[in-house]
Amino acid sequence: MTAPAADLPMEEFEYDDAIVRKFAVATAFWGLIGMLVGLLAAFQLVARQLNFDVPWLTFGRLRPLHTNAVIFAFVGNAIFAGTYYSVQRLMKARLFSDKLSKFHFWGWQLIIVSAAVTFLAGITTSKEYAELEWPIDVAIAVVWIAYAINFFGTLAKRRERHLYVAVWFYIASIIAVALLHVVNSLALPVSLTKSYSVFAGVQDALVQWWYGHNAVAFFLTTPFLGLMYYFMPKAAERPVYSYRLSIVHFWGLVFLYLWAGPHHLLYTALPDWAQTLGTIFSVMLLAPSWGGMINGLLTLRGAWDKLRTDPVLKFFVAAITFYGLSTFEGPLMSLKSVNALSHYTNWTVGHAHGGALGWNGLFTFGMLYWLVPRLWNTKLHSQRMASAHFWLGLVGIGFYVMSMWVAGIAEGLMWKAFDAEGRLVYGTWSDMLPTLNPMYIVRGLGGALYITGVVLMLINLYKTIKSGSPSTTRASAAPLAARPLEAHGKWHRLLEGRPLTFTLWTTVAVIIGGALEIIPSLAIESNVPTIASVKPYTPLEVEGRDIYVSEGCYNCHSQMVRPFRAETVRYGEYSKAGEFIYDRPFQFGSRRIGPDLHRVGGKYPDFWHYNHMLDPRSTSEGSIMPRYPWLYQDALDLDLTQAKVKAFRLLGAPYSDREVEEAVAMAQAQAATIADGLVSQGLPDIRGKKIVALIAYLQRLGTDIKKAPAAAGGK
Amino acid sequence: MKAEILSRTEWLQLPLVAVVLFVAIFVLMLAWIVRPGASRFYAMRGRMALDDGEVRGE
Ligand code: HEC
Repeated sequence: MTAPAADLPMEEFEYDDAIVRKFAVATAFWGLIGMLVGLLAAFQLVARQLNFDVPWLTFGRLRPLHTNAVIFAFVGNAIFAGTYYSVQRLMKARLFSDKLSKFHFWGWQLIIVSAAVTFLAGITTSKEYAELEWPIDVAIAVVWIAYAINFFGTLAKRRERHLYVAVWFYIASIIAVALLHVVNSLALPVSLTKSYSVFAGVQDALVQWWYGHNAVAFFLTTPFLGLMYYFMPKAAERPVYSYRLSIVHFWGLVFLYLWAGPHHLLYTALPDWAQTLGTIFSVMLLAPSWGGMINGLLTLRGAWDKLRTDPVLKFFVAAITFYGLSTFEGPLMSLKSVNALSHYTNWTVGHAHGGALGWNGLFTFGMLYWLVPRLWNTKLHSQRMASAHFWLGLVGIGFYVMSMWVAGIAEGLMWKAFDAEGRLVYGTWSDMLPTLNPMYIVRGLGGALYITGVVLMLINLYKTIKSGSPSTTRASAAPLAARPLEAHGKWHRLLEGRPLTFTLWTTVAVIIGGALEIIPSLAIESNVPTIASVKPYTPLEVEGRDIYVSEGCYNCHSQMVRPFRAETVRYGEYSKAGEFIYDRPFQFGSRRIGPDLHRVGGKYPDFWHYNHMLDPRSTSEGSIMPRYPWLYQDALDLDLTQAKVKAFRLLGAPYSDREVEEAVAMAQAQAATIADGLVSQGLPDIRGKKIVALIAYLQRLGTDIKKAPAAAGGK
Repeated sequence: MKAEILSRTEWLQLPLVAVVLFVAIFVLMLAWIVRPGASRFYAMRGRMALDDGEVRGE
């Protein structure tokens, strides 16, 4: 590129802009859908009637749809659009294969659609941001590999010797996401729509949050940093502020990110050393993150005036600032003392949205405003509309994040508040609702403003597209073989110039970070002190647990009593690692919209649960929990029960032969006992209905340990 | 056997090992990018995003 072009033999070729157009349109479309689903879910916490008592519109099913749609459909398509646009231009080569590009595009959209359908139908693994069941997981792996081949194939036929730093970020992302996805999705299928994690309990939690944290890192952060290093200089018409800093930024992130995952599990039954490691590395992450932010922002040096007129730059600068804010808030929240207050509260929700709406959202909008006019050979329809979008977005994020901070801190404090006599001030969940409700309304309004901005953008982009016609971009560059090596070239090439070597280095970094966390976590199984009284679930409880998973109860309920006085007073004995060894998948949860359920077993009679699940308001005044009337109508299907018990046994649960053979009969017998009890109290017979299994499961939760003293006494 | 060993180790030294490892690699990288004569080289790299190689026909 710096060599005098004149004396080199030039080749002419065409970039594939069509595929970028497709992904760009999909980004805008899924963005709107994903955010609307989120808005509906948000307002359901204000007015629970907004689920219209329709199973597939309840919060527990909508929330995973929302998170997956914005992460994998909105942000995912944006990544593909941005990387495909930039990698061709950085490598001076058309994408490796048009067929693969098309396969990638349609494959991904099909995955999104099947995700939407299965989530609404209650088909889920319940592992956050990895809720898709195994056949779709396999499809994701296939499409991701197609993307990787297409991407690396493009690098292989490049006409540019050096890999620009953006490409490094893309490479790391592609590798890491593949690794994370495969490890975290390891499961034993029992049917097309149901599988059980090969990991259990604490171990499953550790693997899941290793994944969850790094999905944020390598799906929401590193690809976008690559995009930042490409599109920010483009929009500013200046080279990146410091290329050296970008190298530091890259290696810093790749090394540190993977080690920080356990900060999602502070004060849980996770071993101390892992928690400490998570905290140390989370705090260290601050340095490269802020280096990157400064690098992005200072790219505008000497051109700050453009910020006033160019909406694209407005979006970019605000997005990068949010990147900085989120990467400051994250390490802060991983400090144990802060986490003790913030965990399970709305603060986490606010943090996630500061990152998602601020960093990913605003950056994507900026990128679309920059890309669409170029891809359709025209000018942006309206700069003023884009500016209006910007301000709506900013104010929307402000409302959202502030309200969630206030709500989160208030929740954290209310959960811990004791009166002079040592009793909990907010003894029931409904006591806290008056404080939280206004915040939920402000949050909803913030979301609505943000989405209004998105609608403006859709109109603006639509009119832009109408006014133009699809571009075909011709380019010319000299083939690689004809290009001379510069001084320093040899060493540099060894480290940074060869895609294969470079990819290897990155993979090593990613694997070291991953392995250091994963290997000990695999060893945890033997580290977890076994508790003799903890037994596998009965066949009926297994079915009940699956209903719990399917309805997405984990979206509102944790199952992890932390070792704080406020929690043990409220819920009972704190949770021990050894209690979860048969939990596949684990159900620690990440957010307490309702109370923790780990010690709910035996807390209430069956009668109470019967009424509560049918209409939570009948037992808990003002509750925002959804009604579950269909669980009282739908037949309890025991066709798979035996296969499930078998699968658990295969994974190590000590079921006897009799328990496997007579699984169905045992389930029926237990259901009859519960149903008979309720019938004698004047309630309808529920023995053949789903609710009976759910009640059995709820009544079992956290009770094994209560039998411990008796068992120990016998020794 | 492996699990045995792993379960006996308290892993307390692991954070330390991790930090040392990381700092070592990081310092090496820093030394590499500030090597003599690299400024011009990186200044060129920094401009790469601006050159698309596009042929503007219109
Ligand atoms: C929208 C969030 C939400 C969802 C989804 C949800 N709950 Fe709740 N749940 C709550 C809230 C809020 C409370 C506290 C008020 C009450 O008792 O209803 C609660 C309370 C409970 C309680 C009583 C806990 C106690 O100690 O008093 C149980 C049991 C329960 N939920 C079970 C479930 C089950 C099972 C599911 C899934 C089928 C579920 N919940 C889904 C919000 C939710």
